[in-house]
Amino acid sequence: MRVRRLIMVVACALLIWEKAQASVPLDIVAALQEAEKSGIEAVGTREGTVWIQTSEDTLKSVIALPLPRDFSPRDFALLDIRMRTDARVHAVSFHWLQTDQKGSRESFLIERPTHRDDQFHRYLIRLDRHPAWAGSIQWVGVGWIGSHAYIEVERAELKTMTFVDWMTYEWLQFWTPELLSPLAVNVIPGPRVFDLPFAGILAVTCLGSMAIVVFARLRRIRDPSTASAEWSSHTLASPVLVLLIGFWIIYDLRDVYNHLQTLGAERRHFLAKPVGIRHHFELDDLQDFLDSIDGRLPDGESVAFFSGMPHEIRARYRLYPRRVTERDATAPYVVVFQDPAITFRDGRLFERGIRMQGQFEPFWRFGPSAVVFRRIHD
Amino acid sequence: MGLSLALGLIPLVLFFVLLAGGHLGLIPAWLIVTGAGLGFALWVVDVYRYGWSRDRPFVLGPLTLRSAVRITLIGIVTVLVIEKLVFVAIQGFSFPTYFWDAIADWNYRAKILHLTGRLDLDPRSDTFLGGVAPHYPLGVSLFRAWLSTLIGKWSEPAVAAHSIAIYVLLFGVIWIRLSKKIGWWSGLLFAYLAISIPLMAYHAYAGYADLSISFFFTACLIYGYEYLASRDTLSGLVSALFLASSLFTKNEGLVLMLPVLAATVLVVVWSGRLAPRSASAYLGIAIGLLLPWIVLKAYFGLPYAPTESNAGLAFHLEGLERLFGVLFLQGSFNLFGLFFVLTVLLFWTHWRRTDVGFLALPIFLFIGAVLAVFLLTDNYEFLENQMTINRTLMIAMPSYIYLVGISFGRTFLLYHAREFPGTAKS
Repeated sequence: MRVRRLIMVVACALLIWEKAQASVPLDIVAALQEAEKSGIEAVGTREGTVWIQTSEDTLKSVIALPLPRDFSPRDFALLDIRMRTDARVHAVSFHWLQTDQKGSRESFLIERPTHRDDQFHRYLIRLDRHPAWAGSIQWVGVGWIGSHAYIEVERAELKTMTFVDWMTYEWLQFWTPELLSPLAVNVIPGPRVFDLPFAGILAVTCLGSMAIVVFARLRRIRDPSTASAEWSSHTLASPVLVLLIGFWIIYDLRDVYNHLQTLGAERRHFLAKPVGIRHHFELDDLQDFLDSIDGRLPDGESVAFFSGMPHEIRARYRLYPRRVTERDATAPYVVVFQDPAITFRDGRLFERGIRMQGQFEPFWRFGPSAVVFRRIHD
Repeated sequence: MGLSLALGLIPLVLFFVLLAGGHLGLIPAWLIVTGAGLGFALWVVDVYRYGWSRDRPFVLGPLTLRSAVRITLIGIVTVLVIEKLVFVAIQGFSFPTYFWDAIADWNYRAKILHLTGRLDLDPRSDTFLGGVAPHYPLGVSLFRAWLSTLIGKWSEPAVAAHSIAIYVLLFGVIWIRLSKKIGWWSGLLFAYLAISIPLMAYHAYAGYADLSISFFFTACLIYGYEYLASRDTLSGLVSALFLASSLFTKNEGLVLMLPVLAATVLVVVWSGRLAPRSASAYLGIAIGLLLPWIVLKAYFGLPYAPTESNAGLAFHLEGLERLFGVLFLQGSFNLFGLFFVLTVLLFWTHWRRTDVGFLALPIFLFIGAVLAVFLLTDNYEFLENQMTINRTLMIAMPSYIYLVGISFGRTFLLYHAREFPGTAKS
């Protein structure tokens, strides 16, 4: 009874403290429709949410909002977004424009991977951790990486970090699965709990448990009434090893969670979907696009590969023995994959507005941002 | 074991064939089938002569707290092992090559070798020694190229099967060899530790060569130690062949493993546990098989270091802090850092006083050499950006876990290996 009362008192105190800490959040979602947009095809509202369709020809899109003059970044340590994104969105980004004391402006951004499962998720981004989230800030923006993507935002606000927010943030951090990325084969950062490495916490806890067990055993051994004549180092080492393996398994279970999340995402977006619709993480539909090219282009014909992402090496591997050159404007075939720098108008290809030599015609269109052009005249 | 040896020796044989002007298709499938048939026949003869199993059969005794804990642990470990194998198989067989070095080097080279079918020895050619990074040993790429040649077309699943097979074999070799010494369930536990290192699972399907060299190094030490313990000549020969396989897998083989193994062999000879003649034969087999590759590299002036700029000496003791983070705080190795420290404290005396020290020596020499490369040369760059430090350290981990398994058995399970023959005349 006393314990229940104590819990109630602590909970009430926390609630009151929460209310006292919290300031009025800055609602971004309400202003999204009227804000300045880049790389956005359309924005609308539906049942209290704002939906956004990003452009076909750009990877990065941003919606930027002006801030009131008296905006103080210190009062808004946290970006809290609840949204759902489709498989084409790789990451959500938060941008801001900072003016220093000399009046020079610099833009900054923080990127976070998204769930990409068409389900609503809460994303918390700690802005106070970024050294440039200070001083005078006039503009902020929310952006997404992924062309021709669909996003639905239920809530987006800048707010004070309360105790509950902090707990929620740390909890979400721990359960955010490790991303499968080409870097994963070099290093796995590992999950973090309350901003501490999970592996480190487990190691310290394991050592602490071992110390307790060893201490208890030593006391028993020294006690003449319970001491065994056949005592050996086994008495101490055996529980130490059992504990070590136990903690190893705990970490491994977290790793299994990672594997299951990866498999789940792959099943949803790749394994259970047909070619043309399926996506494989940050590669999107590149592999299927490259496969489709190989069957359509004449044997031995070389291609120039254009992409906003560093995928040239993948194209070279996938299309071998076909010769692949990077951004070569003289090749007979031009393969464009998610490259906002390339535009096509009236039989002409432009790279960042500069016309590439020769006349081209669309040869094969695999998807909204995966197209092959054929040179028809030099 | 036949498959393990084949993974290392077939590329060497292919290399000789290609060097002599032959092509990849010269070793056809029927030869492999004949080899496998012969291996199976030898196994049948072995079973006929010695019985089905020489190990103690599993008997379910009365249920006590100890046996209940053991059964639960076996159950959990079995499920975790199966999960890893399923995850790795799905990743490997369902998706095309994904990771960077596999696309840029290992599998790209394999694809070029498969499609050209021959070894291009013209240094001006785009396909010189497989086209990309010609200074890398050809082992991994040649095997994958050959697999695709057997199938008749370039096959991504076949290429992935190579890495996955090595992952499974690593588990199998550690489990089987430890089972014979410390019992099957303790062996299972240590084999599980080896393959549950998180980075290992990625390498099981990534298409890199680090898992291959780790496997060959581990197998080389397992059978080398077996030879020292039992004087079984076949084990010594198998160890030498695994050493040759590791030398033909990555440059780390010739640069780090060969000196480490040579130093260990010298120490063993010095201790009187090995005749100089046997030691010469052991190293002679490994180096002899690699001689054509070494001569070829020297002839074309191909380097052993990643770049010339990384070859210079420099002290980077500040890297120790980063190293601590890599081993104890990050997610690449589970709790291997703690496991390493505790087991060193636990078994250090055992290694110093018993023959298990001959197994520990090359592992510690290798770890020392790796640390020296990253802390005392300009390869520090790869520790700082973490591009290679994790996977290079990973190479020694399975053999270290095997060492701990052996030490655990000898210390706590009262396993006593047969004493070394005291003479150095064998």
